[in-house]
Amino acid sequence: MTEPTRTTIRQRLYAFLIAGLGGLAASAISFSMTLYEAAHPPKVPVVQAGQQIDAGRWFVTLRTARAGTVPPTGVPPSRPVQLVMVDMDVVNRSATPNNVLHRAVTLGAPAQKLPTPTVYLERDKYLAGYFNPNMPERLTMAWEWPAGVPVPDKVTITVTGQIYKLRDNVYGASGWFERDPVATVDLPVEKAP
Amino acid sequence: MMRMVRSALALLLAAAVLYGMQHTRPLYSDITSPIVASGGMNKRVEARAFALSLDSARVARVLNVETYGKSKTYTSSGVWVVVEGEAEAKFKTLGLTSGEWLSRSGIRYVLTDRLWATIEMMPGDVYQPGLPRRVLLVFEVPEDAVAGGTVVVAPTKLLPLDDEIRIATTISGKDIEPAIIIRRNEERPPWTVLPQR
Amino acid sequence: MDSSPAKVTSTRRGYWLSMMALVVALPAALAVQTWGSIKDWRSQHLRQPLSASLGQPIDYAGASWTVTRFTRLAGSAGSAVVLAEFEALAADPKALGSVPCEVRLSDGSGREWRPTLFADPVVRKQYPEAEQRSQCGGMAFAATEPGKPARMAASFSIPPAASGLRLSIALYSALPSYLSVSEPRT
Repeated sequence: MTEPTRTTIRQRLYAFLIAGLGGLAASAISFSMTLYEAAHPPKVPVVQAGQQIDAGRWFVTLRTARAGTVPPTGVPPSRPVQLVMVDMDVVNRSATPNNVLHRAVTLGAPAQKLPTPTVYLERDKYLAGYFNPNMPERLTMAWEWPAGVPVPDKVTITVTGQIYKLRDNVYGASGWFERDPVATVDLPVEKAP
Repeated sequence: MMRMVRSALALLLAAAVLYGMQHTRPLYSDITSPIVASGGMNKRVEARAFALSLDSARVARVLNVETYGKSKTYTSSGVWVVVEGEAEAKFKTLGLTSGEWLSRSGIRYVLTDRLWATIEMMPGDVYQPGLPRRVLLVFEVPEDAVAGGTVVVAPTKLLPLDDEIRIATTISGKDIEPAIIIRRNEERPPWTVLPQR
Repeated sequence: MDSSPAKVTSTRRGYWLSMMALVVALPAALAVQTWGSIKDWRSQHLRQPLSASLGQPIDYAGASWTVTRFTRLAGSAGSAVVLAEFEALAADPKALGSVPCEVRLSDGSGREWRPTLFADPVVRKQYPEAEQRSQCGGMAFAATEPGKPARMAASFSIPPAASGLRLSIALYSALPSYLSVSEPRT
């Protein structure tokens, strides 16, 4: 240790350089991966109606779609609306009940965003609340279709996968997080006369 | 040479300590978990703010709810668990808004929201200090989640470190009645569970 | 490192200065962070009673308050019902219209009851006028003409054995002080 000061400065310089280059490389790789993914979106498999879809938090089996003005309760709403109703079977595969199925099952809309659908339990012909774990239920999801836009002959339902994280990145809390779509299903729309 | 080995070892040790800390830190849900008071059936279990005892837990395939002469049948892909007991606030008026059925394997089922329009259940009631009140809890669970289940009651699900009472039921899961009637009464308690046992 | 004595002294001085600064800065940061919470807690939990007695007006929260009734009735299902009626004469009732009001009944053993949403049937039978009154708060003041008292009521459901009852009325704009009236001896 004849010239301790100079050695330290050089060492520091190297350390800074290496750390800087590493960070730069990491951000470059991450950026190009994002670009690549955006340019090559993963092909979402098209699934037939009646086939069970594994969406992580849910098993979803889409059955039929129809258009109408009366929800499954049989009571027409006071303000006439156009409804697109989709019948499906679901199983909540997580360990707790939840009422956020509408985040996993979405309807391909025309131009504007559709409001949150209402879920009806086939068993009660009434509004569904929470879906309990491991209890298969048949239900009808009803989307309010924008007034003045004709309901198409075929609609596309997208099922989004959700994954469980034991610790999320913010609080370290456990929870379910949305991922990429796992399947799309094309359903012919039956129209009430 | 010695110095480099020492630095490398220190670095490894630091990495090991960090890894260990990352994997042993408690979950967020553990840090904010409620303060639990546990007990069994037919016993008064005391939490800080309220007390609860359960005296009946029955299982049925079908639920018939009779309100003012009208009857509505509720079916299920599993079974219905009907639990009755008594709750009391200890110091301050409070509501008990959260009720859960915790199966032996750790899966949770919340109070059914299918009957709310027809029958008065625990979450809608207000509990006054010194005035115990009958409670009705109805759960819808798969058949294999019945045996050895625990009833979990809390004033709210949203406040961390709040009170919670857990009462282990003694249901075997084998004694399943074909149907249970819950009849709405004019007087207190506002319901009767039939057939009587 | 340069090990000349002057350099060492200056490094040390810097170190100790930083440590001293930390001793000051750390509590200061904590205080700044928690100040809002402390203020909230004080405003909610620090209370000073303003003792009043039945039938006597007392100035509180910009109005003249009178508790006109504080009585016990036999309620349904073995409970006792406490009915309290009170009125407030405010120069500007509308100003009190948006102030939250908290009415509570407490007993000698530290239990505390909130008013019941619906009065017990016995109240309807014995004091039908009380049922017409609104609960304390915005509605009561909003419906009052200036110069006329806002009439309010609260009924409580309590165990008959409770003793040493006190009624408290707190308007959030006048906290920490609140009106406190004890049950008249019969």
